[in-house]
Amino acid sequence: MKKTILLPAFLLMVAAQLYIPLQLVKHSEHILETGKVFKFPIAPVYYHSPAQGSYIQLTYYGNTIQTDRTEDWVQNEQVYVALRVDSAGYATIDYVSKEIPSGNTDYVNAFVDYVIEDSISSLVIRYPFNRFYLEASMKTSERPLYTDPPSDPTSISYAIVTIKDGEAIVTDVVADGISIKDQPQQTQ
Amino acid sequence: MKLRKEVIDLLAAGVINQEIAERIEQYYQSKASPSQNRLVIIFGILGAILVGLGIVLILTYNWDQLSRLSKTIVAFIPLVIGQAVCGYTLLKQSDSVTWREGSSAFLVLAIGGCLFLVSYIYNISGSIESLLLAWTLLALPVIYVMRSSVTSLLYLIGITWYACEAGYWGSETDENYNYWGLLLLAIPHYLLLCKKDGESSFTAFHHWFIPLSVIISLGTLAEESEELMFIAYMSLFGLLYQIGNIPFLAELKIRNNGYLVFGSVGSAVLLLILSFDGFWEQLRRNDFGENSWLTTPESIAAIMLTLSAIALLIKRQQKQKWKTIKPVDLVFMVFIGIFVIGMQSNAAAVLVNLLLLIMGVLTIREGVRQDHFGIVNYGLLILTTLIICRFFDTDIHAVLKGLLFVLVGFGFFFTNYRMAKNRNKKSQGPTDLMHKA
Repeated sequence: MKKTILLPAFLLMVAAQLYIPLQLVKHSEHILETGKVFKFPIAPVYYHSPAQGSYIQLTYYGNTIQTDRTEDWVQNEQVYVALRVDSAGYATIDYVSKEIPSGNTDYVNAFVDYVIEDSISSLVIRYPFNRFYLEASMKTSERPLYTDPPSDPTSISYAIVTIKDGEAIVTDVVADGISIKDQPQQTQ
Repeated sequence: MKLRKEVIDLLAAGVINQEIAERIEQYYQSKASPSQNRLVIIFGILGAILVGLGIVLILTYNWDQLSRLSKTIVAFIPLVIGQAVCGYTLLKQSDSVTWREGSSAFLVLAIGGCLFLVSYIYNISGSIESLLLAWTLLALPVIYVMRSSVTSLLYLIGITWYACEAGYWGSETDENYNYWGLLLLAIPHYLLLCKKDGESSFTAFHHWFIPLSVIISLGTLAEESEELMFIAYMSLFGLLYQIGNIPFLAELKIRNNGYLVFGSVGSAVLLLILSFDGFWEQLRRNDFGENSWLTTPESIAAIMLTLSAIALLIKRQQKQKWKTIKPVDLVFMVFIGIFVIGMQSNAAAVLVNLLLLIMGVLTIREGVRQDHFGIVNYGLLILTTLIICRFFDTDIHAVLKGLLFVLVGFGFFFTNYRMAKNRNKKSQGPTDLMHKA
């Protein structure tokens, strides 16, 4: 290829390679600055893998909603979850829709994890924001999965999630009332 | 050094004169340079990758103490360095393969590093596949702008990883055909490489990476009629075998012809898997009565691959007037017949065993004809594996099993011994004649 074509092509390539990650940064900053903060009750499970480092797998409580028409929902299809805040201050599902909720409704993009067909049929929702990466100083040993929410509401663990136009960023995880950033470091 | 000593000895003995001795030395010196170049390129690429990793480690030292803005800036530094080095290479070192390949490898890794670090800093939700897609698409122009074969190989690894995430591992798996489009985008560079530098190591690596990537990714098309993927895979192996026999590739050493190896070994392995009756039992239980399966991705893939393999086979054999057709060429077509029979009858497993037996015997015959130890032993390996497989589902007495193994072992020894003996006879033939004369 001649240099007259190669150089503009190179500059275009460089611009694209900078533009995409910069857009990612800009978009994330926009969500963090203008989004609304919610607290999602979770069961935190700590993981460490050589490839991905340490992270917390976020398993959400209250990700199920009753439905009368199970045939309307397909596993893995994208849905919009309208949110409201319950009396304890945690995010809870208001309703699930295939269309973007209108007005000022707070909603988050999610997926149908699976449909339970029983006497009381329900939809189980899968949120895409299901990981929180830990920094080196926050390394913790693997802990068992909590299958049930604790009976004491003050000991509920939750993820702090900023939401804007359906997109979400997890900014912190609070376990036993203490931010994961301030948790005492455990030996591996 | 050894050669130089030999040349000096020959010169001293008067076998060659001074002029010939100099020409021999010049010839071997000119031949030695490509391998030395190859080493420089390999170490150049490795060096670039290590420097990149080192920079990331240095920059991320005290990572936890950095603010979000500082972390984001750090994420972009290797990318900017990579782009600057590529720019320098393009302007000042565009003829140096080492510079082009080394700087490109660094840049490609820096792109991925930047994307993953940004995603990590902001805890961006979503699956890894969208990041991989962005990475591969941003790396694609590097192949063409920098004329970089390492980038092309990294790109092939990247799109295969993406296909696996999208088709096998991801939780949001859906119909995803992006891989095939991404693969097509890399093909022009590959064709150019074959045309301009057909015998280089980079080209040889492409001959392995491309078929392997396709083999891994084909399975992502499987949905409802998964059984049909066996036809698709068998036809893919048939197609690869035909591609491996295209004159340009057939002239290569077998170790450089991934198409031929994958085509042949893939067919044998698949037949070995299907020589058990379990799959056929399952197939007979399936209801293929409705015509809807004809339009599934699996059947479309199977039809397209079969037709492509047949077209290549006909084209190749027309040129050679059907003289060189090998029974292995027809395995994928025979298999379709067996598959159709297997939908109704329990004879399919027997037929697959028979097909493997024929394939093994004919491979040994072909190896003997070509006087090629590798092909002969490959044929013997097919037969041995077939026998071992049958031990699992056939009730044979232990003594008989032992005897069969002894026979197979003896077969290995005897065939290799006969071939070695024949080869020795042939090589001794002209010397004997010279002595007699």
